Amino acid sequence: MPDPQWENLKEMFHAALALPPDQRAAYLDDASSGDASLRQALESLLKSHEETNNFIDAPAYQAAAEMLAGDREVKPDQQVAHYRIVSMIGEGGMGRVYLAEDTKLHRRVALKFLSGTLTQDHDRLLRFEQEARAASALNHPNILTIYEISEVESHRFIAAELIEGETLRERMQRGIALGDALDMAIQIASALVAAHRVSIVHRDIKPENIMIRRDDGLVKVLDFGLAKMSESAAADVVRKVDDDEHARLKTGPGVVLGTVAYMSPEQARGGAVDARTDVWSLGVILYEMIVGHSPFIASSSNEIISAILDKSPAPPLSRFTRDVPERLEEIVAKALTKRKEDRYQTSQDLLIDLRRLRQSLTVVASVEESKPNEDAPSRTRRSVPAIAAATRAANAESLFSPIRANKRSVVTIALIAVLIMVSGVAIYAWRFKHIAAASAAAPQIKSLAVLPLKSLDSDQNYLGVGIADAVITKISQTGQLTVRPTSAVLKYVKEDTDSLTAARQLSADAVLEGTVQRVGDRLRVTVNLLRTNDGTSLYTDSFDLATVDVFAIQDKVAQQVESRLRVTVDTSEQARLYDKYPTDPRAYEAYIRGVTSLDERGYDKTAMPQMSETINFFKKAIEIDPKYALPHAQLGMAYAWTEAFIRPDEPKWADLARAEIKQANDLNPNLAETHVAHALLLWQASEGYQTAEAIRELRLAKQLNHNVSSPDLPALYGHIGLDELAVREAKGALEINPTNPPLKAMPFVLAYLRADPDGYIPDDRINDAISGDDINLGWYYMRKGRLDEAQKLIDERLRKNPPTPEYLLVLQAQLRALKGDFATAEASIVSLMQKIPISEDRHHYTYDAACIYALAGNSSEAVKWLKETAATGFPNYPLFARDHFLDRIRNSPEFVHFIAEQKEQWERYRQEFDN
Amino acid sequence: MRKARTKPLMVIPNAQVTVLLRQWSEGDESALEQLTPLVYDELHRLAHQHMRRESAGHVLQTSALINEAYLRLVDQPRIQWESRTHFFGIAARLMRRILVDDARKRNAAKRGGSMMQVPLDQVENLVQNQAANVVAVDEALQKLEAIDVRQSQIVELRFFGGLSIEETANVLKVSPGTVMRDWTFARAWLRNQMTS
Repeated sequence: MPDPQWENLKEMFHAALALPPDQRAAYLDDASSGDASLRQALESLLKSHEETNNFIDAPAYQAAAEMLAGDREVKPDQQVAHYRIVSMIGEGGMGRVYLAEDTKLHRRVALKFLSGTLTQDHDRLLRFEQEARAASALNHPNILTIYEISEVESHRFIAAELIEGETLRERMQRGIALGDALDMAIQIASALVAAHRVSIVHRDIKPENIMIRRDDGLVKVLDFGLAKMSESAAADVVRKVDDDEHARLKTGPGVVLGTVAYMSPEQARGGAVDARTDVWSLGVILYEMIVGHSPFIASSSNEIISAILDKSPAPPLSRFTRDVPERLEEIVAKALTKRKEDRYQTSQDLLIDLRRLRQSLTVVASVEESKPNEDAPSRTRRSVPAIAAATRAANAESLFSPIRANKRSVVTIALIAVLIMVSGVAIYAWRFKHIAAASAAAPQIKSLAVLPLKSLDSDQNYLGVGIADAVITKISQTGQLTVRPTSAVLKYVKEDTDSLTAARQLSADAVLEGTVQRVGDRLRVTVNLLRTNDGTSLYTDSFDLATVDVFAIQDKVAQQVESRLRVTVDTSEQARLYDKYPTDPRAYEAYIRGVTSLDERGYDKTAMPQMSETINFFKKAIEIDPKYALPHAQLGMAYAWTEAFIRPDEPKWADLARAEIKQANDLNPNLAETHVAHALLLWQASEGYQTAEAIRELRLAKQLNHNVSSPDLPALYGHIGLDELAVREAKGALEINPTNPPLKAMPFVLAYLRADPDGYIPDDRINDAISGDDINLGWYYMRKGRLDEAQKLIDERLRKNPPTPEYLLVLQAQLRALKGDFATAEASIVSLMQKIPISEDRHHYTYDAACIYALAGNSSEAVKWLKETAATGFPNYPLFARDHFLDRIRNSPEFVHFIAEQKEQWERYRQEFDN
Repeated sequence: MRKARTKPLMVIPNAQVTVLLRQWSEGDESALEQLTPLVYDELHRLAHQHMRRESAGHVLQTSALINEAYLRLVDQPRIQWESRTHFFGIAARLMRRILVDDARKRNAAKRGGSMMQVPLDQVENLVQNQAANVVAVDEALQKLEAIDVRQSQIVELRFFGGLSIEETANVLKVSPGTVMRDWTFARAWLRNQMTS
């Protein structure tokens, strides 16, 4: 029983709260009637109330985010986030590096853990993160790809591409031929150009930070952004360098941070460092690759530093080696000029000179090519296309004169960037046809993946997605290339996968990657087209665009595209592109965020929070621009999905979906997105399972836009028994979108729909086909007549996992019926069917129920369930006609009548869809 | 159809958690020892996801998140909880135990200076300040429990369980108005306790 005094206190507290603040004191005087301690208690409570602000309003759960306890060391087999540690592969000043397996993506990665001391300086850490993130956005073939920078249980780590090969230091020990040295220097310089372009200076270019991949000799520069972390530490040490015999800096017990040999004079002096420092370091490396030792030889760090700071230049290469081209001598001397004002001012200048020199040596290289070199089999093969690509890029650059006009919006710029990029890729595709025609040996590029452009400003991510989406739509429309649909590439927004890996995952012959960055009120877009098999850059470009009037400029660029590239721009397609860019960039942003979020939707009740978020993005887009049709269409999709999978018990979702779909269609009847959403809705209980109508909608969507095709189309063909068409459709869809999980699972689905495991799944592939679900395997065994194995699997599953999936019980009942235990089977299916809700896949359960009754010879019950099956989205005449589970009732009048009706309907389907 | 849309595998409910949670709710304290690391890991994972989404500019209701955590772990409808009150009550209690234990350990470690917390950004900073409160709230809440059980339940469900006013009302079968009044008072009272 609550204390009356306490109750009194509460009452008075609320009464006082209800009053305006200036009347409270009087009320307290009155109510406490002289009880000083009561008055004081109330006063202090009221004061606390005023001060609470948001005290404990946010749940303590948020504190779970802080559960990052324990700075433990990692060990082999330990799991850190989704990585499993395999072994330690190195240790440096920044911390240890481990070989690990990414258990999500099943690839091997290098995990670099930052040591505790370095992570204690917050400012430096923040800067490091910014730089590392910027570096990870570079996505250059010669820069080590950073997948992720993360922190788990206070392990701060970087997950990066694993390079199997050796460091340049190791490679140097075997001696390097002139051509190879030049080739590697060009690759290092390309990496520097890419980094310097976005103002990232490496600061610690040295042979230990450069790796050469074993497979193909590709050079990778490591640790961009990391050097800055150690910068001040290094400077400290330099100032008090002692006569360290190994000429190495030590930051801790036995930990090598870097060597002074590659430091620029300004760096050694502890002065300001910029891109020219990297130029210097590359000069030292080039020198060392050619002559076999560094230009400044001495026996201690101090002496090396004084040689670097000394005014006299490094001795010429010719002093140590013969046959050095004079031009190379000049290049090295210019890179190693002590005064940075007299050095190469940019890495680009150095790169150009190196490339020119390489080009003049190409004749030599082609002679070398005829003699296979076991040491570096691919080096010369690679250098020739590199030059060809450079020439091509230069041509492409000259096609586009700068566009200048008035300011309007970021979205406008994005559109222009898209059109220019489309032209760029199309130019390439067009040229390639000609090149391919001339040389039969050239590999054909038939498929392209366009990855979301990486944004260098985190709030502009949506632009990168939007640009990629528009490029995909645009190029897929030209019919010149198979382009992976947007839905296949969206996942790379969040995943920091390197472009070539992504391209391989997507089975694309080439990949278009890029970055987008806002610089003041201009937008800088860079693109890079890479050939997947060897990482060769086929076309690169960057646009620095001012804002202009979208409609005027679009016509102009479209004309350019038409006339120069002979690509006919369809006017209805233009209309669709307009729709992708509403008048207000905020609406576009909300829409793209919604699309990205919708891509992550889940299939059950737990997916609701995520779906609410998705819905809000689309609502926001509509609120800003009510006439913008796409968010209406996608909102319709979100509602229809919620109805189908997340909240099938709440009728309001279907109503909401219907309304949005109608509105989208009223605004623009040509949006594929609307028809895909409508198809999903049509095939639900709320709409009476209009299977044929859903198929018509999906076929229309496919016609309108290849990029928006839905994996549901082959599945729906399979449901109505048009098996061959389903297979054809699935194959075609897989060609465009080979990584789509539902499409990959299609062989199993179609086998399941035919009740015929032999149809599409070879026995040895069954484990791939069941997509990790052992209940599917149970079904497979049962249909194969391997009843003992099916039984064993069911028993095991029942034992180990108490919340039993209903489908397991259905299987169990079916198995009992097959074994002749009809009474138990019928009893369990009756109770089971009461539990299975009205849902998208109930028709499979009703079909299984029909089979059980048919096996038991109960034809009236069996046909009752068959009728329900056919009426709820699964009118599969060939299945009903063929399935031997139904054989016992085939001659019953009910079944004869039913199958005749089904056949008639199936003929109609076939005539309409498979003609 | 059953498999055309391949479901992500991670949402499979953890049967072990279901069983343990049930044993604990029936008074088996040893179940908690096994339960804690399982729930902890899941929370940890979700928290990271949560933070990533936050930084990507997404806003996710925290109560939705905690529901997500539990729904992922517990196949709720399948176990016959005596009532919703029971389920959410247990869930909030478990969360309280985990968070308070963790915060205690963390505070101890901080005092020992063996560990350095690195704020990633503003969000984490806020979270961190709040974590410091967790132990203090827990202690004050124990006092409140002795005086007014319903108020302490409300705080437990709201603060540790992440439920909204409406959800709390629903669970406790009282009106939202009552919850709001009790919540307002309890909050002031707790703060008073913690500052005096």
